[in-house]
Amino acid sequence: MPDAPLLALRGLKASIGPFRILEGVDLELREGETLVLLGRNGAGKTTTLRSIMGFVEAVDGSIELDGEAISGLSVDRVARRGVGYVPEDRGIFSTLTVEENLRVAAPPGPVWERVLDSFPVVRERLGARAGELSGGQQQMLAVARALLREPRLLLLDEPSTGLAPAVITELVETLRALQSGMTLLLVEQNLSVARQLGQRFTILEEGRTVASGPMRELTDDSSLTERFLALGGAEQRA
Amino acid sequence: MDGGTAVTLFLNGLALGAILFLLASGLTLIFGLLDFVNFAHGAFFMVGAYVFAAIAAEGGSIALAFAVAIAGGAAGGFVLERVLLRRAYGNELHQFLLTLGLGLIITEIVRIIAGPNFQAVRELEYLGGNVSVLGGSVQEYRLFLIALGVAVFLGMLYVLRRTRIGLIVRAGVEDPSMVEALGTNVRRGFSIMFAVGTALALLAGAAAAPYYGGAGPALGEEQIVLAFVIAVVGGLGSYLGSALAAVSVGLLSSYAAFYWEPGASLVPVLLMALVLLLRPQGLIPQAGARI
Repeated sequence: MPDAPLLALRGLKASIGPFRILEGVDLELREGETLVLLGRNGAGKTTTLRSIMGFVEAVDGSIELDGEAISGLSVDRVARRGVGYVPEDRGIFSTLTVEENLRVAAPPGPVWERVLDSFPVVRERLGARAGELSGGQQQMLAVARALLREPRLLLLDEPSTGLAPAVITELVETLRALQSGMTLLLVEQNLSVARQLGQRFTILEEGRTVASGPMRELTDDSSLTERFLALGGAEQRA
Repeated sequence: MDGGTAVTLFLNGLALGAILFLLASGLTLIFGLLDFVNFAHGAFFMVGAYVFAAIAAEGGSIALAFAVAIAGGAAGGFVLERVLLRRAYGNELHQFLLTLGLGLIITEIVRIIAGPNFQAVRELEYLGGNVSVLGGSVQEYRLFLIALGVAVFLGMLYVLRRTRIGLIVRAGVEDPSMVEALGTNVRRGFSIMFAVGTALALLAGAAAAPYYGGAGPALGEEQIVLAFVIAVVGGLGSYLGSALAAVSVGLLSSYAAFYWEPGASLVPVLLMALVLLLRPQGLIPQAGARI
């Protein structure tokens, strides 16, 4: 099926402990596309990413990667199927050096050169302890590390959180340069970043998919933004 | 004390330090890397001593005894971690109860099989002689113990700092979920490290049997206290610290015993009291990074 989506979630339900977080998430992501997952805090965006990775077990519904069900697989197996993940807290190994952080993902090779060309700041700090990097540098490291595994699909959770506007700009530019040929599922509260990177959006509300469409619809449709996102000035900053 | 005696005491102290290091290093590895308090470690040590005693009684070589101890320890540790101990990760009380119980069970099984009495091992045929070093005299086996201690120390440092499994485990200690998200099964790394720690305990026991003159079921209970003293003095979870603490205890015990025999057994306790008073974080505390 040439038109089959790379990632498809259908009626995904998931719980964390006694709490049902996802009540029916539907989304589709095609190869080479960037989909932004939007929604208020607690809408289930992070849990959706964590369900895809296998950190949170799906109670019902399906998660398919390239037409094959991946729900129920262990996290490392999902990763080996080609899914990269950068969590909101970046998941940096702060006591290891930058180079060691990268080595955990993949031993040095040609891919390293390619990836480090896109992340000069990471290349400059290879010998530094990762915990000593600034927030922006840590985010660059987290993304570079995920890309070393040459993922078919990259899950990126709130990459702009806690970063200064100038650093966000640099990060967006880096991601835009990498976007061609990359399939990205992005959780992002910063609408400006979402608009710059996303081609399509999906909005979650209380664990359910409530809207989706091309990004320009969201830009033009302020009622959708107001109804489901209710973002204040800080979150809509340029 | 003349120069020759000082050298003899120094080398004997280093040999004891090597045994203590082998004993404590496994405990430190498992604690430092897996945050797991293993009270069964002394029982593993005791089993190692019996492995040596059994193989030596059949006329087997030191090398065979060590190989069996390492292989048996690794296999046993791997299986125990998989089927039992991994359930207790993240819960110190469960770790304490589970490993304390496991240690008691192992000790009783050994007591049933081998009897309650201390089993003396024969004089070593190989490495049993004495050699002169700088005017002092020391048993060849004790020089071998020193070399073994140094080799294990350097080997483990190499594994932890220079190999992929060492890297995965160090990363996994900090954030196991992220290691998995990067495509590596970290639980397997933890099983391997538990196997290595247990193999070190059995190796320590096997190496110590000729030094202590044999094996007895009470050996584990005695040694677990000493192992924890060394781990605390060195700085909990610090591999370098456990090496320094083991050598310190070995040397101080050796010199103390020369002047006043009972003093040797007081050394570890006094040293721990002193360190806890003056430097409660241990000699070489983990500075952020484990190991």
